[in-house]
Amino acid sequence: MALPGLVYLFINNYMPLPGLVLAFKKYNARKGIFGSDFVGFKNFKYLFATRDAFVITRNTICYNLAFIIVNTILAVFVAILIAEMTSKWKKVYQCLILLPYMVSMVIVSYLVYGFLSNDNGFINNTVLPLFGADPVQWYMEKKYWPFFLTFVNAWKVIGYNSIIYISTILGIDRGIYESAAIDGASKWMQIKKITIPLLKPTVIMMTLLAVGRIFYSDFGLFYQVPQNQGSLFAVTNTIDTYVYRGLLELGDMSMSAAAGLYQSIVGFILILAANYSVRRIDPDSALF
Amino acid sequence: MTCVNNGYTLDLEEDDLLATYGSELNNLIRADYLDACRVGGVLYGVPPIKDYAIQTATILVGTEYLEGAGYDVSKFEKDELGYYKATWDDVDEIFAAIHKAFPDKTVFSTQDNLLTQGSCVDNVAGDYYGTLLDPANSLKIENVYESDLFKEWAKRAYAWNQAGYISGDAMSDKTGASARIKSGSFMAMMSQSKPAYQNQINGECGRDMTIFDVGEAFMSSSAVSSFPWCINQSTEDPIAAMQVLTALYTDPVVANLVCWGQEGVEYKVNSDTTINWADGVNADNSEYYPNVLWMMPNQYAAHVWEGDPIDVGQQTADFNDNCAVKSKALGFTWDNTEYSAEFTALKNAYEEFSGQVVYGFVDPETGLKELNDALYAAGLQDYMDAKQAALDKWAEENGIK
Repeated sequence: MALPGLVYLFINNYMPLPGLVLAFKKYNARKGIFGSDFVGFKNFKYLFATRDAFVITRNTICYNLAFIIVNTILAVFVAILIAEMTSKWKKVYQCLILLPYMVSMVIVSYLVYGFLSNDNGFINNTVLPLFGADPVQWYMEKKYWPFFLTFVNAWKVIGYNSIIYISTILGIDRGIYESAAIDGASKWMQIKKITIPLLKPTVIMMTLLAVGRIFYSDFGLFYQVPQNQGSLFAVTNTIDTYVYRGLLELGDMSMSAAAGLYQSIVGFILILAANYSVRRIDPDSALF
Repeated sequence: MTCVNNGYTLDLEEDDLLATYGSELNNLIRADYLDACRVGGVLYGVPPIKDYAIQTATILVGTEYLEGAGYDVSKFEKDELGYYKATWDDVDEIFAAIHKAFPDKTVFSTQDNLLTQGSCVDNVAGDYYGTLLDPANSLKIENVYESDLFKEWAKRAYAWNQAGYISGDAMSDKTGASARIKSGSFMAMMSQSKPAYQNQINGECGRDMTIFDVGEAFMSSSAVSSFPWCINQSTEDPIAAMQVLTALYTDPVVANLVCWGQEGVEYKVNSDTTINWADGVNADNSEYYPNVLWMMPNQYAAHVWEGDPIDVGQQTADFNDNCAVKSKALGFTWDNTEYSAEFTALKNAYEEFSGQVVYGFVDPETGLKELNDALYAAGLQDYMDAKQAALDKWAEENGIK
């Protein structure tokens, strides 16, 4: 039954693994991947030796930590709200809240542009004049962008992330709630003492998976939404966008392979470490 | 260069491929232009036959805006290509006039093309991190972002921005400059020109444009080798590929198909052998109108569009030969893979700090200092030194002083 899926997994995820050696070679199309010259760690130099290395690593990690925390809290909140809903519009809300996840990031970047554009944006033309404030050049002010990006990312993914929490909540035995209500527990008490503790394993699992991707970033979010503005690089440049910008002209496949290898190795180590610490605290919640 | 460095292209002279099946190419293209496409002596591509020299710093203004502002262009002299010769002060005057007449339209449609199309600075080895500031006379590599030319431009852009000629969204708007003019909200732009440029720019901007020539003719070292036509090294049949390549350059049927489309469908032939749109077809609804003649192998083997002189091929060849500023480093190429880490850092540094300077959003003193500090921190000096060493070595090998 699982055979086609396993075959696909093997072909797509395991067979290309020997190609990782590309990260340590200087690729020449004539010699092929395995025939190209071995150059050791030279392809990794650009990720560590430059002044940008600190900025991009810091940005990637900090944004991902912020996203994990904010998105988990909001997704759980939304999931509890939806699970508690009894009106006939519940299915409609569930579909609507999923919609932002389906929208391509390029479109989202133009939605944001519609708000933040200097000359024609909604904020500069309508909202700020209401308060009598001067227009702000949003794409040149660095300090607002961590907030903007976290907000856009949350808007986009909490609908999707809440699905798994909703299904966990629906799996909780109704009887527990009824007996709590009989014992005099208020709605808030029920949520605090029953729903959230029972969601704990799911939250931990989702967080561990997110930690494994902590060195990756959503390329569309960090490249398209700030409209590739140089003035915002200090707060929006991540490892993925840095590699893209630099290598678009060089076309150096071994350097991009090196970046990908670096991200996945670090993610792998972090997931093992995080899982190990979770296992020490609460063995039942650990992933493996 | 990337394709060559990564080994994607075929050596065109392997087994005498070019001499046997592509001998007409040797006749059509001058030997020194062909040599410009050699790396380490190996010929990896054939340059398209086009205007290698460019008439730099051409300011294009929509004719209807000049007329609306009542600006009289008859006071300008014409240069040898037939365009009005103007200075930067004249341009300031023109911009002020059209800004006053059309206050709700943006004057200047920006793009980051000062160095590529607006100056005679040679991007030796294909990038602007270390350039030849005086390419006709000197082989010394210097940082163009500290030069007087760039400072002057930064001041001018700042003045224009303060005067309101540049849109507040200039840095975030990624549409092409001519597409913005086509939309009708922008009035002028800067580009490069050449013989018979009028039709091309009218088509791109969707309206009649008046061409003001502010710069001089320039041929950069990488002009010839920028868009070579190569053969993929994994081709199954190199002979057939070479025959196709030759046909693209010499056979009018193939050249017309690639440049213009099908006769009767996309274009029709006039009595004087020029061509124009076929009935019912125009720039918006034509199925095939790439309008990239500058990239085609040999646009002069195909028909000439109505309005351009019949002998545009000869005019272009003359324009190339008589170009005022020709780079001494013509034909020099450099493999920068040893410095790819620096190049990545330089590119990121440039993208971070150049926009606000080039489009005039920050005062030139501060902006230029930030840009140059970032470039040097990214390793500009090492990169330039390596380039200079390679250039000196090439000059010695080729006997150029």
